Amino acid sequence: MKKIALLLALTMLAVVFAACAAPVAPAEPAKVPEQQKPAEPQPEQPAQPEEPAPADYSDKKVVALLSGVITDGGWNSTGYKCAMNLADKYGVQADYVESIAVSDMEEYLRMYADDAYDIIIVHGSQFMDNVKAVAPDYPDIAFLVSFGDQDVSGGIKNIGCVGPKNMGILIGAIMGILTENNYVAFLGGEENPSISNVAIGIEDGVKLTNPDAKVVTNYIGTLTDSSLAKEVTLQYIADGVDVISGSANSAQLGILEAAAEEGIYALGFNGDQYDIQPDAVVLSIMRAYPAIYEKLFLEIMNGEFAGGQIAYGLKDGGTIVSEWHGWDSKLPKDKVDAINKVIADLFAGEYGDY
Amino acid sequence: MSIMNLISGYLASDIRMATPILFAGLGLLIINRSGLLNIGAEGTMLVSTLLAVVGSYYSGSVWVGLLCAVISGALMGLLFAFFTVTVKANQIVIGAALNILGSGLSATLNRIIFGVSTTVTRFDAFTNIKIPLLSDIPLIGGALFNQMIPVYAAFLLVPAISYYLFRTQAGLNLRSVGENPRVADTLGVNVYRLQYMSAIIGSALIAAGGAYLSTGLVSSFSEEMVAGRGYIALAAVVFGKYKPGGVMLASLIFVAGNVLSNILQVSGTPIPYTLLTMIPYVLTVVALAAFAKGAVAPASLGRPYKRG
Repeated sequence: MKKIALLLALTMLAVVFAACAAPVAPAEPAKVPEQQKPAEPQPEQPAQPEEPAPADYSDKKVVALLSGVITDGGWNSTGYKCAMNLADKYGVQADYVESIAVSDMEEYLRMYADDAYDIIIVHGSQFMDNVKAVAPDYPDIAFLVSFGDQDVSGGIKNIGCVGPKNMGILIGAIMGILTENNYVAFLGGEENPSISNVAIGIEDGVKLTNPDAKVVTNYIGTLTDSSLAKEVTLQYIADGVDVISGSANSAQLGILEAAAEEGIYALGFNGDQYDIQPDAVVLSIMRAYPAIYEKLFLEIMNGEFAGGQIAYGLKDGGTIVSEWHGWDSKLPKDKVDAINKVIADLFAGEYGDY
Repeated sequence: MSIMNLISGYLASDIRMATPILFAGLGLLIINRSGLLNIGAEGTMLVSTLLAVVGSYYSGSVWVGLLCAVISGALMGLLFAFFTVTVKANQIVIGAALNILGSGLSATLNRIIFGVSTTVTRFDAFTNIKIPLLSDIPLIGGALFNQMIPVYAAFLLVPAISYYLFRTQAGLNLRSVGENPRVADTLGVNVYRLQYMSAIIGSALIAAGGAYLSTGLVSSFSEEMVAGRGYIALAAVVFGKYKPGGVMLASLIFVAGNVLSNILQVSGTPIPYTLLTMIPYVLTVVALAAFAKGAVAPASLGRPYKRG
């Protein structure tokens, strides 16, 4: 009796397993090749026959892989907006993943590549090595890394290094005009290429408009700890800094709060941060990523994408400056005029090839 | 700026930054003393940072925010006690689960309530309260007596909890439950009730630290803003040898490492920032290695008590 019961139980178990396994096992391998194959000719298909008519991109898939959370009001918010912008305007299927560690990135890249996503936006230069490891296996997928300062694609044709460059020059130039004490600071969250390439330009930028000013660029060592960022900023203000800017994901909130508390000027970054601290944020300097990725998306769909460095300098529209939000009547007129002029000149290429 | 002002500034910075860790440390101390090992302070603080902001935003009063935070902490404590005392699950696992829960819950609630936007919500926050006369004492006056109310509260809690633990019958009962619950039980102490109470009250204190972080130190919520303070508080309890005064000292020393690294950064030393930001952690490791020998944990810490 016992043996029969055991046998019965085993059979039932086997049936259950078989039932579970049956649809799963063939479905997964079947799904991938099915989607991968048509992905090859498709990029040219929708755009080629009818150029002016709005093409149907609803079968296209885009994902933004982010290093932080989409609520940071800066870098990762921007990455999120890039994907959502494509979904809104072109009806593509857009996804995003937050807070990915470098050690996990390769897994995510392979997962979305296997799922035949057409464009994978990797929002941060720290993931470059992961992308290089994965991209050669998926030549039909465009891997776009948000980092335009250098070509670090290693010659792999389906990797694009995308973004604005020389933003630090513009930020520095504005800070040089705003300062009264001739002492300004830029605080980065961590020293990764996306941040340090902005920091590098700051000093040259300040020198353009205020050769006598002391410039400090430093790193706080956190992208999330806003209270620590606030304390560091307070120390700099106590040391005499009277214009501050920074790039530190959500820790940036602490930098701006310190500036507002102590009544010094701040520049927003990565998003229009006026609303965060209206009493401190004079202007915000933003990467024009949503527009850049939109342009690139259409190029990829038209088959015009060749990889490599896709950089937008100050004169190519890679950087946008927010509106004044009323600060143009609060600041001395000569400063407002000087700032307006330096922005226009930099954008026009008057200061050279920035 | 005079050297006196600078030192006073550093001291003030040390005290206000130590406060969240002190709150969390004192809360953990009470929980540990009842024999429960809760590593979930980080998650508890994360939830409370958000709820303090939510409460303050909707009511217009930072005190309501604090109340919301404390209630959220008490609920997290209740959850912890239910699983560890009643269900007798592994305390480390439940603590880790609280951390993950706190991280996810605070992020999700934040997006549901405030949405994904770049605008930061404004709300009532704590402001510095200057204590007359005392705040005029040179050097230490400004640092000690020109702070926010939660800072005063945290430091006043130190002698209060010390008195409770070591000078009252209730405190003795709590400690005896942590040392030997069976003996305490035979002497008529309600072990389960005491453990529940200490988990709830301790977690409420931890939550107060979180509330001060988002409505005091800074006045905004950002995801993961607790940034490891819940874990530092764990170390502070061990380093403080399971005594309130020790916990206070430990939090002040740890944060002094932070302040030192900030000062060195601003002074423009050629030392790379990565080394400077290491200082607080190196200090913690060294301090733990040097002083933890004398720290005697409650004898039945982390072991579930089964009656009968």
